[in-house]
Amino acid sequence: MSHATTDLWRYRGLVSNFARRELKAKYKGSVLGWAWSLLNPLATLAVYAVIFGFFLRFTPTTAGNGKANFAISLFTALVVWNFFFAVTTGSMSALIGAGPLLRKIYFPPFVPVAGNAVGTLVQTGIEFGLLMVVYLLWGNVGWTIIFVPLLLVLLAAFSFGIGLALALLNARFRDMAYIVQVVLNLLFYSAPIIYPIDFVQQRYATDPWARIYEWNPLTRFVEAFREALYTLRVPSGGWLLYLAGVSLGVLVIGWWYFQRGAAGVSEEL
Amino acid sequence: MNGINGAVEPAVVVTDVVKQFRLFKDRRTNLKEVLTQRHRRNRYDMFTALKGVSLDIPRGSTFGLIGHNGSGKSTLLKLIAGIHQPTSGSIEARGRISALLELGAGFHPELSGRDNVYLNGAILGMGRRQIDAAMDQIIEFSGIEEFIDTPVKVYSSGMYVRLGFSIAVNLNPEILVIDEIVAVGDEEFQRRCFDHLHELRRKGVTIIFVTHSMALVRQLCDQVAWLDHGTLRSVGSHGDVVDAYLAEVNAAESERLENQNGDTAVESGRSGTGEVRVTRLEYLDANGESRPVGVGGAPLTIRIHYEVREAVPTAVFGLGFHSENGVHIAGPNTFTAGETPYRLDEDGYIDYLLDPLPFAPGIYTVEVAVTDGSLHHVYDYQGRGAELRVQPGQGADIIGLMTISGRWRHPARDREEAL
Repeated sequence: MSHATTDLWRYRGLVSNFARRELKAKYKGSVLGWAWSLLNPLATLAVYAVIFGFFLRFTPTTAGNGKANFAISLFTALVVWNFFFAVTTGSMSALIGAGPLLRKIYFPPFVPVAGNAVGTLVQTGIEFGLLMVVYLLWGNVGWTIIFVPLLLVLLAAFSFGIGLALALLNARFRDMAYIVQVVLNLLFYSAPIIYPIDFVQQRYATDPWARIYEWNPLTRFVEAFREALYTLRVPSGGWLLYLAGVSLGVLVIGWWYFQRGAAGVSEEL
Repeated sequence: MNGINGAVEPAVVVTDVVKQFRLFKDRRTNLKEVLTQRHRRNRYDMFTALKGVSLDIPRGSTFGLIGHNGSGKSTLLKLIAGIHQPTSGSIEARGRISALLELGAGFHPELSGRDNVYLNGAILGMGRRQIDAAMDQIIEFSGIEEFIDTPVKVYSSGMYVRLGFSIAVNLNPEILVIDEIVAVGDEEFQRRCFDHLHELRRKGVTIIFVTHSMALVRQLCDQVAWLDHGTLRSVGSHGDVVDAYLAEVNAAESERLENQNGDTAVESGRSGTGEVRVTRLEYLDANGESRPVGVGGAPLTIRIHYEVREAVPTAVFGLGFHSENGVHIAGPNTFTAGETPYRLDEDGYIDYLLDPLPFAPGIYTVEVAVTDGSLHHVYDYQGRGAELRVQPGQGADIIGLMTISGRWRHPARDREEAL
């Protein structure tokens, strides 16, 4: 792993170059340009809020300020989910997209994957900024916000680890991208993003399968972020440790798996 | 092995490198095939591009790789540049490598020229400030200031090469790896490239390049490695290796041509009244042996075989030599040479002796004509009588289309020597 950090440091310029390009190229040629990076999640938010909050009348949990707002609760979870989604799917396309370059000039193949993660992190930072403005206006900010950077680091490690593994798998078998789409869809609904976690917990309290649901790292991430930002409670220490362990484990395994196959990847792209 | 560089430490050490490529008959890239198909091992053939190559490239040397197409030159370059990994053996490069392997190598088509400079600099591990420092020089050297902020996808091939080369040489490489690409730019840019290569050489940059131009090898290289079907035939100073390589290439070509057609039969573009007809041209070397090709700088006899259908009292023979791009180089004939017109009664031949054959390597068209003594009545004329293929000889290179027989004199030194 020490080798990994020196490599990361050495190629930091290239990682940021890839990240910048990712951000630049994303909305190039569109009239609203950068504004889309905010309009896009907001539009998704609006759709879900109307369907689940208004039509289906999902009841939100009570926030730290005593009020309850479905859209804000949803927004918090969506920012987390969007990051995970963008890193995992983006990793695959980033490596494939770097193929023409990798075939002609040497640089470590993890660089485009890392560049994608960094670019996504910047975008998520902006979304968080918007989210904070909303919370300030709504009057729901507490000291628990200090957990957010820690959670974000863990989420980034977790997503990047998975992204690395998927990128390499996808380079070998191009169906990976399609399989991942389906699995992510399932994951989206199996984490308490559009509905409160009580929904599941109340109904299946004694069901052993509910444990799997609860131990799903994404469930834990969404809950932890929601606690720190929405309900303003201190995330449970046990779950935080669990998340730290899982994230680090996933990152190490993802990195190891990627590096093991990286040397030959330029011939497979 | 050490050549003129003595005990200089190597910049690149290639040890026993084997490189195999899988040639997939039908590449499995989706999961269904992986899961459903049996006998997976037989789905590809192994192609061995390099079969155990070892060599040291001394620091600061200019190192040429030569060999016919498919000999493994480019594969070796890619391995040195780190793009592929050897199947077995090892390659150790000590220093920052800048590689220029293909047209537009390392360019992202959607990015502007300037952004690509940043991208390439970052790939070489340079910081933004270092790249900024080199930016002006790169743009100036490439000569494409106007287009530097346009996406490179609209660049012409010449512009690609200019920018690529400019980046590769201006980002302070320690080891520069160049595949045969410099040849694309125009004359003026090529000259600048070579000037720059000479300068990098002076600065102690190790330059490794692949080329088919033996003239370039002689001009630039300290050492040459000759690869043949994935094995190293020889390494050494350029003179010996290039000569050995050329000798083999020439022999192979002669053999091929001999198998094709024994002589150069004469047919196309014919006119004339036909009393005398040229049947074929034959090329003879110094020993009087029939050869399919000529060797630059060596003696050559062109034998014109003719048949006489009707005896003629006066006949003049002439030849014309045209370069590939149509330049009429020379047109010797028996009349201007002062020969009395021949009286021809029966079939025979006439020789034209060239000692030495003054042409540069290449393919020439030979026209042949037989006229009467007045030169106005044409018995037989063939505009594209035959092809004369000239191979490079052992001596100095012929610059231009042909050598001319001038002599140099320097009075000042002659006086000094006289004293």
